[in-house]
Formats: sequence, structure tokens, C-alpha cells
Amino acid sequence: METVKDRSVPYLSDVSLDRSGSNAHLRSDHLAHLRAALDWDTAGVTIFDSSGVLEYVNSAFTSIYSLRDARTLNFQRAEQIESLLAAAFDRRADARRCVMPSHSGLPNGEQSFVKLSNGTSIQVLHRPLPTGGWLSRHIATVKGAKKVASIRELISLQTLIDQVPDYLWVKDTFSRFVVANLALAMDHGFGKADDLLGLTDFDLHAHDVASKFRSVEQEILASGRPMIDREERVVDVSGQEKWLSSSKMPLRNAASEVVGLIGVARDITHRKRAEALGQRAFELEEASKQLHEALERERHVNALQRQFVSMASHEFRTPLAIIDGSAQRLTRRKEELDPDFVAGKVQQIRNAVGRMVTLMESFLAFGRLDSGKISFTPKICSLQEILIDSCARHQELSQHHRISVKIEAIPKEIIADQYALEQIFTNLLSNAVKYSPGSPEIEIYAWSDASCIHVSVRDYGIGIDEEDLPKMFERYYRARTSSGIAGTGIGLNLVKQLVELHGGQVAVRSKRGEGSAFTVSLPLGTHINSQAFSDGQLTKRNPNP
Amino acid sequence: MISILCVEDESDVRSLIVEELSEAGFATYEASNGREGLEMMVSKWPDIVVCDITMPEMDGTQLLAEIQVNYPELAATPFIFLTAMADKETMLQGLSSGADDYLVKPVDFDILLAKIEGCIKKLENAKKTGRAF
Repeated sequence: METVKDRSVPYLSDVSLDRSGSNAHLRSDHLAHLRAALDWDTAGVTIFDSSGVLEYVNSAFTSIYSLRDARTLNFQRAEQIESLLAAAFDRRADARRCVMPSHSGLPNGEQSFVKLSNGTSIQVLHRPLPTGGWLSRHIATVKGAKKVASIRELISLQTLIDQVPDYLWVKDTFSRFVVANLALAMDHGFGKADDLLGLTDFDLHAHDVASKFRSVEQEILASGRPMIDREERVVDVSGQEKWLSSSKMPLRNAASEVVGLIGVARDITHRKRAEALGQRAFELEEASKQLHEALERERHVNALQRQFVSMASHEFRTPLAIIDGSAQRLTRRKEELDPDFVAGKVQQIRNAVGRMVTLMESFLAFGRLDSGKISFTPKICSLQEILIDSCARHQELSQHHRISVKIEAIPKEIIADQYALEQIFTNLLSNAVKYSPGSPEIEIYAWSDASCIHVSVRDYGIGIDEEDLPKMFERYYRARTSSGIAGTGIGLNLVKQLVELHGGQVAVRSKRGEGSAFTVSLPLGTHINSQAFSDGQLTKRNPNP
Repeated sequence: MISILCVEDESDVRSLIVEELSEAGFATYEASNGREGLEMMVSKWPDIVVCDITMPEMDGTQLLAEIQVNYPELAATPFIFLTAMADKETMLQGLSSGADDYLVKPVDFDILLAKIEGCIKKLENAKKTGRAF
């Protein structure tokens, strides 16, 4: 499709004047006048040159044939225009008749009548031009046009605007009503629109509301910029709150000076109320959702706590059973006690008591942490000694496990809470023993790097499912693999909190069936005299597993 | 001689019970978890089982359920839970799964022995009448 770009349409080339340009000084004015005249015409007008190229088309033409954009017609050939128009006709031949004369050169032109698919009849007149091209006029006959005209005669501006349910008004520069419609008058307690004329917003609204309107209007009058669709709250004569969506535009005279203000306002109270209700419903729903979630959390915590309480009871009852059982056994044999039997029972009792003490300390520490009453008193202590002592104690209690300790160069002395460190490693070690029945190897490994001292406690026991790993340090949480093994779910949470008191971190790596490794990392800020490292490597292994 | 299987993961507890039972004149078998307990029941046919609940690998209720479902010939064996789980929920669960008794630790050995005597009486009656216990 051939088009000439960057030329605006309607474009009128020189059809009536001398192409030589001798009248060039007149040409542009003439063209403009001619163009204005043709654009004013209600008939469609087209001018084709001798080679059948469209030179001019007016806006009435595009509207008669429902063409969206006149620019697409620019400098197109008659055949192309014809195909563009074809859509408006039932018959292609009509489109052709409408665009060009069937016999060129008829001195009086030719006239034809065509009918658009939408039923509009069009009278088309083609007239040859002296240059060899042709001029066409297209006159549409609208059905019922007469009726429309008669209605137009009937209605005045006032009756028209009084039919509109929105508020319409015009104010002068003093903000006095000069035009108003019935809706505006009625809703402000007046019987007819004329009653408002000469009044101002101060006669309609409370002082503060009216002042607000006044300042907005003064701003529009001064700046000449319209205000579109602003939501405004007003209180009407009956004291009812109302929401309006208002647009206020400057009214200009022929000289483009602002001489007043045109206003339109729509009552959007219902919509605002619906919105407010919707918002309220939304908030209620949110609140109820939050309540449900809180309740669900509460239930969950309750369930965990119940489980904790019964497991705690279990944890105490087991050593108590050993103590009580040993005592009962001693009573049974009281007549014939031999020293070995007594020693054995006493040892069992003492182990069980030790176990209960550890358990109790864990509970107490946990309770103190919970209530913020933990005593945290960092002092100079030896991590190496703490590790070796803890391992030795556990080795004594767990005859079926082999606990090995490997300590690489770590600072000899650190500043830490010794009691807390003991609890940390006691917990990790007893877990390692507890969760590795039948897998005797337990390895403690301590080393340090530029920023931290690390201690890992590794077992080869039941391990932890991957999805449980992130929750392992949550209070009362117990891994699925722990089923059947007694535990309260507070140990690792306690470890984490105690490690964090030292500014450190604890991490876990594990795989179901392959064991777990818990690594405590304490920042080197907690040590003193970093030069004084322990004497290289130290490995201790219990000689009789 | 009446034989009793003690299924208990805490070795100190287990040794005390076994010691008490042997001294009372019973033959004893030991198992340290439910799985071992099942193997013992299948291979040794103990007359009575005293069983902990919370144990690794297979716990006491799982062992009892396994017996009830897959070992009908062992299902009538008198089964006593001896556990540190003192909450009602676990107790109800244990009893309804088919245990003949539920004892909470620490247990008075006289009571344990009395329960066992009771079981033996029923076993003997059942034998006489040819009815399953």
C-alpha cells in the first residue's frame, strides 16, 4: 500500500490555482479557507487528481463511511479507497460507484444512489475537474432525521440539564451560581434550579465545607487548570453525610479568558459506603483469620507442651525406677548382702541420681532462659578440659559407646560461662549416645580458624530427615526419627540459646540412617591470649569400650 | 518353669527386673527393643511378656500390634506394659491395644510379681479348660 508519510490530512493540494506558483503568496490562505469550508460541510467531499490519487478528503466523508482514521486515506489510489470502503457495503460495485465515476469526462458529472449495509442511503455526485481529476460529494440521508430536529427544537438547555441526575452548574468568577440544574437545587433544599442563581456555596453548605470549595474554585479560576473526579465529602440539608465525585473546569469566553467555572458532581455515597463496608468486612475477615491462626498456634504449642510434660515425667520416672528398683532389691537381700551386690546397686542408684541432676539442671536452665533469669557469667576457663571431662562422664554412663576426642590447636583459655558450656556438650553428647543405639562410635572434634573455635559432636546413629533439620532447634520439636526414644524436645533448644549467649552458632548436618553432626562455633572474641594455644593435637580414646 | 520375657531399652532397669524375676524363680529372656522382643517371642515362646513402651526401632505398642496382627499363635500371651509413660492417653492406648496390664515406673516389685502370679493362674486355668487365655 502506498502512502505518503508525514503529511497531515486533511491535505488540500492545489486543485484550483495555477500550479506554476505565480499566486504563491495567496495560495496558503486560499487553501486554508477552502479547507475550512469543506470541513464544515456536512456532506462528504473527496477530490481525486487526474491519475486517480486522492488529494483531499474531509471529515464528513470519514464519518459517513465509518472510517476510523482519515490518515489511512491520504494519497491512496481510488481502487485502494474502494477496497477500504467495501466493508461498509453489501456489494462491492456500490463501493466502486461511490468512489469514482463510471464514465469519466461527463460534462455535468454523474449522480448515483448507494445503500450502506447499515441501511443509510447515500447520494453520490461526481463532477469532473478541469485538471482531469474529479470532485465527489456524498450526502447521507439519515432515517428519522426530521424527528430528531423536532425534538431539538423542543428542548432548552435548562430542561436538558434538569433531566440529568448529577449536579450541573456554572458559576461566575465570584463563585455565584449562574446556571444550576434541578438535582443540585432539590438536594440542597430548593424547589427549582432558578432559586440557586446568585447564591454561593456558603448558602448551601456549612462554613468549613464552603470555604474548602471556594479555595479550590479560586485555584481553578486562577490557574485555568481543571479539577477532574475529586471525591468530596459534604453534609446535605438534612444533616446526611454525602460523598460526591466532582469535576470543575474553567469556563472560557471566545477570547479564551476564564470567565467562570463549570461544575459536574455525582453522588457516590452508595459506592463509598459499599467500599467502607467492604473494607470493614475485609478487616473483620483478616482479624478472624489472625485469630484462627493464633488459636492454631496455641493448640500446637499446647499439644507440644502436653507432649513435653508427659515426656518430662517419663524422663524423671526412668532414673527414679532405677533408684527405687535398686532400693527394693537391696531390701530383698537385706539378710544376706554381699559387698559386690551392694556396690553394684549403689552405683546404679548414683548413676540414676546423676542422670536426674543433669535432667533437672536442663529443666532449670531452660526455665531460667525462658523467664530471662539465666545467670550468664563468663570467666576464664579451659574448653579443652570441659570437653575431656564431659566425654569422660558420658563414657562412664554409656558403656556401649566409644567416645573419642580429637582437639586440634585451640586457644588454651577462653572467656565463657563454664556451666553453660558443660550443659551444651552434655546435651550434645547425651543426644549422640541416645540416638545411636547399636552404632558405638561417637567423635568429638575441636578446631579453630581465624574467627571461631568449632566443636563438632558426630554420631553414626539414626540421623534426621532433611525436612526436620530446620526445626531441630525449635523448642519441644522432635525429629520423626526419634520416635520410640525418650526425650523432651528442649535439649537442642537449650543448646542453641546457650551458644547464642556466647555470640556463637550451632549447626546440624544429618541424614536419616547415617547419623548426625552438631557443630558449635564460638567466636574468637570470647577467648583471651590467642597465642597460648594448646599443645598441638590431642586425641583421647576410651581404652575399654 | 514359667518363662518371662523382659523387653526394656534401659539396661539398668532391665537388669533390676530380670534379677528380681529370676530370684522369684522364673526363667527370663531379655530384649532391648521391640524388634528384639519380637524375635524372642517368636523363637522362645515365653509364657509372659513384661514390656516397656518407649524404645528405639520398635516401641512397645508397635510390638503388641505386630503380635496381634501377624502372630495369632502368640497373641494370647499375657502382656504387661511396664513404662515411665504415666499420661492417661498412652495408658488408654496401651490397654486398648490388647495389653493385660499397664504398670507405671517406678514400680513396686511386689505388685509386679502379684500381677505375674495372676497371669499364671489364668494361664493354668486356660490350660485345664483348653480355652485360650
